Amino acid sequence: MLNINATKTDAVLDLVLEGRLDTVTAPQLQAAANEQLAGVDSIKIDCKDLAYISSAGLRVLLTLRKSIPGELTLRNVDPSVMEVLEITGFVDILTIE
Amino acid sequence: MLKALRSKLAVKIIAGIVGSLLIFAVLSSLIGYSAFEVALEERYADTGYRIGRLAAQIVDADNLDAYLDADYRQTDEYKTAMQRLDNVTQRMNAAFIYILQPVDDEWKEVRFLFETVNDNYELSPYLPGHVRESASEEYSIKYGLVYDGKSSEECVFRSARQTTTGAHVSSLVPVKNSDGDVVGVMCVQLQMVELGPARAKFLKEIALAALVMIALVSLAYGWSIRRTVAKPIRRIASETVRFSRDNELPEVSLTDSTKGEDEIKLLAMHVDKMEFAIMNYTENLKTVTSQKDRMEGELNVASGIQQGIIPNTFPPFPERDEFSLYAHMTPAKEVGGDFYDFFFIDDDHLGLVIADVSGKGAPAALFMMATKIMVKNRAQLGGTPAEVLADVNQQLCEGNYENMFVTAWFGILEVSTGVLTTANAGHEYPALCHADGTFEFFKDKHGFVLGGMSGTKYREEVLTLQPGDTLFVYTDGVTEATDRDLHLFGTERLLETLNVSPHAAPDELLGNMAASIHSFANGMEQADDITMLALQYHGQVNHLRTLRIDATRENLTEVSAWIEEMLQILDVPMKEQMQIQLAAEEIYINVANYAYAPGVGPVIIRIGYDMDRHAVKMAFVDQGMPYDPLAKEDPDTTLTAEEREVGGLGIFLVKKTMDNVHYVRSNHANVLTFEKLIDRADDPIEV
Repeated sequence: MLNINATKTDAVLDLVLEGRLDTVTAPQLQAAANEQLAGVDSIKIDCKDLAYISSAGLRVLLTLRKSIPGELTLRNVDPSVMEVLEITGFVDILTIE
Repeated sequence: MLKALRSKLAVKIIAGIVGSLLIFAVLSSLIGYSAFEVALEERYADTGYRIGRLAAQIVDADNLDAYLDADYRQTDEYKTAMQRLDNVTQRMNAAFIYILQPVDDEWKEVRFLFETVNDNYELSPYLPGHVRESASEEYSIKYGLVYDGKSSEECVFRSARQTTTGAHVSSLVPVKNSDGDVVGVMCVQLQMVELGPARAKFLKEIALAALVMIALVSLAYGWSIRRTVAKPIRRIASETVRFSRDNELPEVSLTDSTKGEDEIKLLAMHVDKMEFAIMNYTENLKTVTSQKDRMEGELNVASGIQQGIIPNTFPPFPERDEFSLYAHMTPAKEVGGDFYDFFFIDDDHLGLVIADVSGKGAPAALFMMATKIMVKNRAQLGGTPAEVLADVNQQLCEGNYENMFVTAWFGILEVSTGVLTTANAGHEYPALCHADGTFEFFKDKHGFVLGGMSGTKYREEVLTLQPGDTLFVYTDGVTEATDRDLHLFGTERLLETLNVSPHAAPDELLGNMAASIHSFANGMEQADDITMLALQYHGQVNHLRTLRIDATRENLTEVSAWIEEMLQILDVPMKEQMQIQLAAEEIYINVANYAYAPGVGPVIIRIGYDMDRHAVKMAFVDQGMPYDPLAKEDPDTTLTAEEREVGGLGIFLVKKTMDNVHYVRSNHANVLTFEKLIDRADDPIEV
C-alpha cells in the first residue's frame, strides 16, 4: 500500500509518501510523478510515513533523479529506509535532509 | 662440416706423403750428386795423369836442373821441349803444366822448374827457379808422396770457393830420370769447366724425376685412400646421419657393404651393432612408455570417477534446517581409498559414513567404490549400523583374495530427536563437542575392520545430540600428516585445532583443520588422503511454515503479508523484520521475473527459526531454469547518479543484510537459503 500526495509549486515537485515503496507500489509512484514532471527542476519527497523501500523503489528514485536537472531531496527518512540507502550508495546521489 | 672434415683428412695425408717424398728426393739427389761429382773429378784427374805422363816424357829428366840455367834456356833443345810442352798445354786444354821441386823437406815452399800457361789465360808463366809457398797442406803432403816414390799419381781438387782461378783439379805424376829416381813432380792443372753445366743438368733432371714421382705417388695414394679409407668412412658417416633421421635399420648393412678386413670394416660392424642395439632399446622404450601413459590415463579417469561419486555439493540438504553438514577430502597424489558419504535413509534418518581403505592406487580405489556402494545400499534397506556393517563385511570378505580391508565409521542420526546410533569397524575415534563444552574423543567400542574376517559382529553406541552439539569424524590422513622432521600431526593437535573455535559452523571447522594441517606440514608433500566430515546438530527448528504460491509480481502483497505474520509470531524486532521483508521481496521478485519466464510457475517459501542460534531461516525453492543469482557481480555503489544502472541492487541488498546466503541447484530445483541472526537474549515463546 502506498499513498502518494503530490503538490507542484513552480519548478518544485513535492511528494509525500505513506506506506511501502515496493515492487507492487513503485510503478504507482513513477506514474504519479510522470504526470507532474513537465517543467519540474527539483523534487522533494517527504518520507516521514514511508516504512519500507525495496530495490524497485530505488529504481524509481534513480529514474526520477536522472529525469530532472536539479536535486532529488528526501526528508524525514526512517532508519530502516536509511540503511537501504546507505548500503546501496544512494545517500551519495540523492540529497537527504 | 663433414665435407670440410673429409677434405682435411685427404689434404693431411697427401701433404704428409708429398713432404716425405720431397725429403727423400732431396736426400737421394744429394747422394747422386756427390757420386756424380766424384766420377767427374776422377775423369779429370785421369786426364791430368795422362797429360802429365806425356809431358814427363817431353822433358829431359836427366838434365832437369839445367832448366835453372838461363844459358841452357837459349838452346834449341830447351826451346823445342818448351814448344812441345806448350803444344800439349794448348791442345789438351790444360790450364797450367809445370814441374816442381821441393825447397824444404816438407814442401812448404816449392820451386818451379818451368811452367806453361794456356793461351786462354793472360798470365805469364813463372820462370824456372821461381819459389813460392805451397797452396795448401794437401798439396804439400801429396807433392811429398809423389816425389818420395810412395805414390805414382795424386790429385788435388779445388772447388770454386777455395781458389781464385775457378774449380780445378791438379794431377801430380813423378818425373823420373833414366835411373828411375824421381827428380821432380809434374803437375797438370785442368779447369773443371764441365762441372757447372753438368751439375745444373743433373739437378734439373733429378728435380724433374722427383716431381714426376711425387705426382704419380700422390695420385696413386690419393686414389687408394679415397677408395679404401675416405669413401668407406664417408659411407659410415652418412649411414649414421640417415639412421638418426629415419630411425630404422638400413636395407643393406654396413658390414655387408664394406669390403676388406681392416679397422674400417671393424668400425662398420660396430656401427651396425650399435644401430641394432638402439632399435631394440627404442622398441622397448616405446612399449614401456605407452604402457605407462595408458596406465596414468586410466588412473586419472579412475580418480575422477572416485571423486565424482562422493557427494560434494554443500549445503547438501538446504531444505533441512535441523543440522548443518560439511565434508571435505583432499586426495594425496595417487588415487587413494578414503571416502565419506551421507544420505537420507528416510525422511528422518541421516546416514553418515567415513572410511579408509588399506593401501593406495587402483586396488584401493576399486575397493573403496565397492564399499561405498554396499554401505549406502545396505543402509537404505533398513537396519541398525551394526547390522549394516556386519552385512557389508560379509560381502567384502567374499572373494577378497587380495586381503584388502576398510576401516569405517557409520552412524545413523535420527534428525527429529538427535539420537545418533553408531558402529565402528576399526576406524579412528570420532570427536564430539557439546554445546557448552569443548571437543573430546568419543571412545566407542571398535569392531574388526571391514573385509578382515568373515562373521565379525559390531557393537553399537547410542548417544543423543543436543542442539549445538558438533560431531567430527576423519581418517588417519589427518592424524598422520607429517612435517619435515617426520613428526605426526597426532590426535592431541587435532583436538587443539578443533577447540580453537569449537562452536564454529562445520565448513569453518574443516577450514580451520585444513589450514592447521597445511601449516604443520610446512611444505611436506601430503602422503595420504585427508578426509573430514563435521555435523552440527541444531535440533528441530521451531515454527516451520511453508507457503506454496505462484511466483507472480501481483502475489508479492500476499507473500509480504504472510512473511510479516510469521515474523510477528516469531517476535522478530521491527528492524530485522524490515530487513527480512526486503530480502524476501528481492528474492521472490527475482524468481517471479526470471525463473519461469515467460510463463508462470510455483515457488515454495519456507520460514523457520533456529532457537539455538537465534536465527530466522528462509528458503526459496523454484523449479525454473537453473540460475544462481549470487554469481552476479555486485554493483558499484560509488558511481554518480548518471553512471548508475537501474537495477542489480536487489540481490546485493540480500547479501549485505542477511547471513549465510546460499544457492544450490538440487533435484532440478533452484534453492536459495538465507539466515538472519537476531541479536537478543530471549527466544520467542513457542507457538
